[in-house]
Amino acid sequence: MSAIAKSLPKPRRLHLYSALKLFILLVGFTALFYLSGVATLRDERRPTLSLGLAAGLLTAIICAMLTTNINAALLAQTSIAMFGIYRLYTRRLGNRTNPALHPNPSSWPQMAVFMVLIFIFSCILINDPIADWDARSIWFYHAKVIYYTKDIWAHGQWAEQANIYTHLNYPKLFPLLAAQVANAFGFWNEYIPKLAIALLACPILAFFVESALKAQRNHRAIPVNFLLLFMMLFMFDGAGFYLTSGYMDGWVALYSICASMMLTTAIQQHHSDDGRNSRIQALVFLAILSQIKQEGLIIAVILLAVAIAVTLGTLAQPMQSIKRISSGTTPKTLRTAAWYSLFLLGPVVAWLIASHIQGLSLSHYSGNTLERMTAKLTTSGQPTWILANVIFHNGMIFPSLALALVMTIHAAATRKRLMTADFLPLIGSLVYLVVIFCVYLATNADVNWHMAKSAGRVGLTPGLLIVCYNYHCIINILFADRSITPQSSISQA
Amino acid sequence: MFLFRTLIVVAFLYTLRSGTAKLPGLGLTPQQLSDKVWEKSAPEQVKALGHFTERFGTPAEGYPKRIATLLSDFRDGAWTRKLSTPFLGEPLEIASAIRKFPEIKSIIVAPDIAENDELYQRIFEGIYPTLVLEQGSTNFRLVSSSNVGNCQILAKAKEATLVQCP
Repeated sequence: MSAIAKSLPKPRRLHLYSALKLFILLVGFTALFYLSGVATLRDERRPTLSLGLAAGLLTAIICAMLTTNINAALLAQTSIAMFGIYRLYTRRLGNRTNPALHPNPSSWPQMAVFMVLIFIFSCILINDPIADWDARSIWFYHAKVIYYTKDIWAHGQWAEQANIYTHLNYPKLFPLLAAQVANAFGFWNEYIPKLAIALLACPILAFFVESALKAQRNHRAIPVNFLLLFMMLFMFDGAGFYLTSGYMDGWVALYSICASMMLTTAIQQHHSDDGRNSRIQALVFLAILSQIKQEGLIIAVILLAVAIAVTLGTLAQPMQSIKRISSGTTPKTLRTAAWYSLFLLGPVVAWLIASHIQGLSLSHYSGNTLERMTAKLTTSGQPTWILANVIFHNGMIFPSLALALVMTIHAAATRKRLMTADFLPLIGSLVYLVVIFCVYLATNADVNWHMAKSAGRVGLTPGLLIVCYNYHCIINILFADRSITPQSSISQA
Repeated sequence: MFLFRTLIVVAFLYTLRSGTAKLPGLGLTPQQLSDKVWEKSAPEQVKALGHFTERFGTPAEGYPKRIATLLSDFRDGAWTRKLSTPFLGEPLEIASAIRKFPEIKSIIVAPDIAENDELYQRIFEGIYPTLVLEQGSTNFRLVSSSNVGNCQILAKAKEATLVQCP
């Protein structure tokens, strides 16, 4: 054996070079806060930490797609961040009176809470190895290929026939982050790359801290808001598994509800600074959502479509808005809608084109979708069985729907006003449930096996979106006196 | 109003934890309750197709245990060791064994192992960047311990034995 075995790989300690690369990675992500915030918002408003971190993730995947090499991507990403810091510094020198360019002392507690949360979460993450199927066979396998080839396109190796069972067509944002973490440390093992989950969690944790503390200004019931938000984001059924194991379903659900909450704020407060910030933040979160998983892409498109429909008023007054559109009296709204769509479609289309060129659309799923759907629809009991799985398999969906009904009836009965935008997560969830139903009708796998293996976790996103609607109702109807214009009240919707 | 608010907040928390939080008095979780309703109301031919076979994974109740493990690992020094060791093979032991032989670029998996789809998939992904070949010029093979034949054993792991054949 000794003749064959060469020198064993020696255990490495974290040396200075690794620490430096890790520092650059972290600076790259956090410093984008300044670039995305200060430059995008034209120095007028204070950007939020969650927006900066989310923009950092988005920039990471864009740089990797453009440069293909993960080291070059890291360099490009860090250069952008440094440029952002430089711009901030020069603008601060030029304009000493603009408060948006100076550190806000009131955000320091937020930052401290955020840092503590991310540290605790990271420690929990890396104490267990990568073990479960999707994590091991899809996400971290893709990451390992990117890490060893140092190339997001794996020098064309993705298209090999042997890889087709690993869902090659899934977006590569998370695998890229895991590969970058391993690259920063200089080696691959079954623990360290899991830190990438913490990078994905950063914008959500920052969003939680911002939203929980922002409630001080808007709501009387701070502890209730904090509790409900914390439970909704981190303590839902299965959170212990889906947020730490390396599965992406939990993160798709969390990015969905955060994006829907920001879209709701953007629509409700569209004239204020908060509304404008939320609009940009929602778009960045939707773009990330579309780069996490295929399901994320579908839910991002659904949420965006519902938001545009709500913005145009088509849900409340379809005929009037059609007339307004046809008479050309809503050009600004339409322009906004077009920008919404372009912002999201940009990275999505870029990904689809690139994945087609790289042969990532190779899949073990065959065609004949319509025939399979028709066959299942006409088989006695099959549609009911699929519907039952879609609604009952995930334990959150049915009880949340029941509570949503109670809350809506209560709002109508007590003449409390629910704004049309409040319904966004609920409508998005119902549309997504229909999509899931159609997917199970069309699956070419054994439908019972497919539902047994996936209906529970696929139901996380619609379930949490309904929970998000209930959260809006509880905070805005039961714990806050909302004063709104009568046009947007539920009675008119 | 206070009672109504409290009830709604409690109901909200139940909807989030419906798989694990038991309803007082009933001794059932809302999930189990919906299962019972389903069992009573679903037609026989639909029930015959099977029931919900998969629920959620480890619930959040596991956190105290995980934090205790984390602290104990940290005290024993296991934490820093596993974080700084490259090529750790957990949970696929054979991966670590193969990586002790950097000259192995590709490997053939014997049919008796390859017929176990799940194990084959785990090996295929776990030993990357060592490539799995169906056939080829490499002398290195992964076989079960009873099928070593006249090959030289290089390493043994719980999933397979790594051998070099003439």
